[in-house]
Amino acid sequence: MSAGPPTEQRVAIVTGVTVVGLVVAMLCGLVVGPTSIGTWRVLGDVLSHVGIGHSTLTGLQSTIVWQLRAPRMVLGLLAGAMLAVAGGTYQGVFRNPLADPYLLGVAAGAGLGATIAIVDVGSGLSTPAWTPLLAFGGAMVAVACTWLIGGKGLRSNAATLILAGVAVSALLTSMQTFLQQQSSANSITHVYLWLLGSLASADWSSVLLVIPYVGICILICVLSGRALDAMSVGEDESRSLGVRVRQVRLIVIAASSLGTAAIVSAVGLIGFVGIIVPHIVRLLVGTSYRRILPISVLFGAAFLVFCDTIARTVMAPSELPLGVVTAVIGAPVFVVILSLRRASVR
Amino acid sequence: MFKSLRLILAFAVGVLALPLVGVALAGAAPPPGCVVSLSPTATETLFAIGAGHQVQAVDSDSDYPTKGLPKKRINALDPSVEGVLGICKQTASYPTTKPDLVVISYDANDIQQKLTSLGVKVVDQDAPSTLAGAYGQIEQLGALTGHVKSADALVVSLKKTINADIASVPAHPNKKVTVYYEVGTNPYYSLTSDTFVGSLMKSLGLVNIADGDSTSADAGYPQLSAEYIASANPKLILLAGDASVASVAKRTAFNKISAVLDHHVIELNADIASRWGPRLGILMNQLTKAVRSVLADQKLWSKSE
Amino acid sequence: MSWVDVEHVSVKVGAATLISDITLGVEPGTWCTIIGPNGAGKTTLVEAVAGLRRIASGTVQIAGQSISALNERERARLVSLVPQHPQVPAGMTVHDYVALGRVAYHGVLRAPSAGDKRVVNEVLERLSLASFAQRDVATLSGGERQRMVLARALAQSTMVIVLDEPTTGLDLRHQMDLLELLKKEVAECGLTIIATLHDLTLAGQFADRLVLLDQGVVVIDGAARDVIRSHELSDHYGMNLRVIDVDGSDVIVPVRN
Repeated sequence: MSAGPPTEQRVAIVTGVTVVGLVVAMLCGLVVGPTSIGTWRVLGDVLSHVGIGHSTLTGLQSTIVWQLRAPRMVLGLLAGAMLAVAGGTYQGVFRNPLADPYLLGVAAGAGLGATIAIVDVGSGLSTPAWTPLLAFGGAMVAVACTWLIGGKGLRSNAATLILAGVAVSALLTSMQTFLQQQSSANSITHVYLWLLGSLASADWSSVLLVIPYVGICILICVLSGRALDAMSVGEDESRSLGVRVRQVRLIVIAASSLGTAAIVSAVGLIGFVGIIVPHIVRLLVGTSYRRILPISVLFGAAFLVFCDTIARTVMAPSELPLGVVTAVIGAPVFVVILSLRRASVR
Repeated sequence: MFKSLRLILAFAVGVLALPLVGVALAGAAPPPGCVVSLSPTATETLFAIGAGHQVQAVDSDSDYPTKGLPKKRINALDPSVEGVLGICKQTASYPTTKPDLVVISYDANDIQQKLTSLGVKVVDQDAPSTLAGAYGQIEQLGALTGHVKSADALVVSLKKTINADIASVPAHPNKKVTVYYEVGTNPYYSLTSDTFVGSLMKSLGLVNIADGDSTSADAGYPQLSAEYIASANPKLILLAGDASVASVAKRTAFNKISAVLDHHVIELNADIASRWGPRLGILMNQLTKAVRSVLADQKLWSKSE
Repeated sequence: MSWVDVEHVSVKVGAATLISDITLGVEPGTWCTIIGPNGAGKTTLVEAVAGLRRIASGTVQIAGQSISALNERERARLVSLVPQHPQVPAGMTVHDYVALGRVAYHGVLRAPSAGDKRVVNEVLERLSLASFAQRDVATLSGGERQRMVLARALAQSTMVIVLDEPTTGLDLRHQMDLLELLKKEVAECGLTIIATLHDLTLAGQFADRLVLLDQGVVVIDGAARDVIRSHELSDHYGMNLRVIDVDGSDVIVPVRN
């Protein structure tokens, strides 16, 4: 790996490898699982759906593949893509490598919303449908508070927004802890597991619910790459270059937060993807967000589906929490790439 | 004459045989061939009513009975739905890997909805709020696994010992037996009368200091401060967590509490105290013994309350 | 009406007034340098001209347009800025950095057009940066970096460039190079320059017009030759300043009493 800014060739190779990885991950998502259904038989079934050949799967196996594995894989793609691109976008807007999609209070707000739903504060809220709704609402309320407290992005200092996010998160988390404390052991467990994040409850209805939000938000984030590059010279200078900094910040933060909130409401808080995938991609293709963001979409999707395949298979018939797998796999990958890059710079 | 005797005999046999045929036809639904229990309480019950051989997988917390549990373990808090669907052994008489009965006490990963939509019978037997509820769950498992008789017998025997234990506690309208039930140490966690064990204690006339004077609905496991416990001065302390009687005596905040001074600190088996199955009798026995010993302790009741 | 018209401009931050009631006009194709002691408000004034400061009262007009009425993109086509401490993002190539100057034209959603690319390459050539085009900006020396920032400002194709202490951190050779480059742009392209400088000699040698700012107000405003010889200059700097002619150039020296 050369140390200079990456060549077009290197970017093309990385993109190609990522796409291949994505396809492999998607296949794994359908083919691998605790009940062994032959790879070729699954592929045969896939082909039979587009009119080529016949399926040899039993009714149960077909249900497993299409009602359990497939929606889970698709939700994993959406979640991985959204979290990765949101993390990268936040890192660009705040020019802070420690930014992750939960920075402005999304996690704390969603956690509080979910806790309210699960702990059944006020009657009639404990049906499953309420948890994602309240999680989403909580996340958006938190971001709105952060935005207002942080000066609506009008002050030239982005750090103000981050600090506001810290304050809002702390407040909402403490409220959540208070509620958890007041509730039964069952609810505490439920909330804790929700917080750990999981794709296990994925089904086609949750996928369809999430797709419109996530699709639009990913698109907006990816299109913001050029603006983020222009903003990398700082707020004053980018304004003098003609960038409408306030507008860009508002749109980009809104899109990232909305998409992240939608994902969090469906799958809980999956950590690590949002902060580490953009960094890995940055190490591979350089600092331009025009390149980082679209490749992060692909990489994040592949990475999360790959991790979920492991999470739901290695301890069958139980599952591993997804956040554990993303950290255990992501951290070494990051370290390896980092050291390769350091070595070449020497 | 022999001819008509044979006719009468044949007729009699036929008449007698009819009910048997009827019974055979009525019991047409065969007992489930593959049962999965994701609740330690349900596991105990299933084995106690003779359905153990039908159980092919249990959750990782199921540890009783000590012998005979199936080897396959599932984490009840994070089960793989697909894994559960593929857990049964396929035989000539049971040709699929899908279980036909899954008992849960906690709906993780949307498992109830997912399995039900795939044709698996899922029964949620969460902690009941009364003794009657606990008996009802045993009977339900009996009906579902085709062991109605043994389930009924178990319930009858439990009722007998438990009612006897309850009756053995003398009425004490003027004596307030306050109790602190410890679930966790440092910080101190207790449980209120909204929980199963809490309701058992209430039915024995115990006054739970964790109830406070709040009527908050979902306040099942409140955290109590040492100061509050000390000032409530309970006459009985029940330990269902990790603490031992000796360690409680050492706590500086607790060493003036009535229960500690008069040696009414009782350790309960944590497993037995957190389940509501066949070993309920043991739990009630421990609880009633503790109450009786407090009531019998003359030292406590000589002063006016 | 001048090309750049500053009319009774005041800038406040909270209760403090940074500059008050500043009026000056800069003709097209001329170089106006703002001098003054530290804290006089020089940076505030030039940032206000570039549209980066909220003006409490008064107006700044460039080419007849009030810059507060313009949005960022329109303003960026009129005036560009070379800040004192530019933020140079490591990992970007010199070419991409200079190309940022064209954002005002193609916007943040579209790629640069062929015309944009031509302008960038031209500027890189003119400032002898073409051989550095693919280098990481973090690997440039101070002088090269300053040239690159100027290149970006030039790529913006504005008629007015505002520079805040452009010689900061440069050795003498590079200082002269940069200022000569600017002088050439003024002469060849009719660029209008408003710059702040603390070195009085350089200020006197390169500017057409000098404005002395002290404690937020204009003290002297006139042709460079005249201002450097004025008594007011010595008074405001609080020292004895003498102008010596060296080979036809004015050199200002402080004389110890």
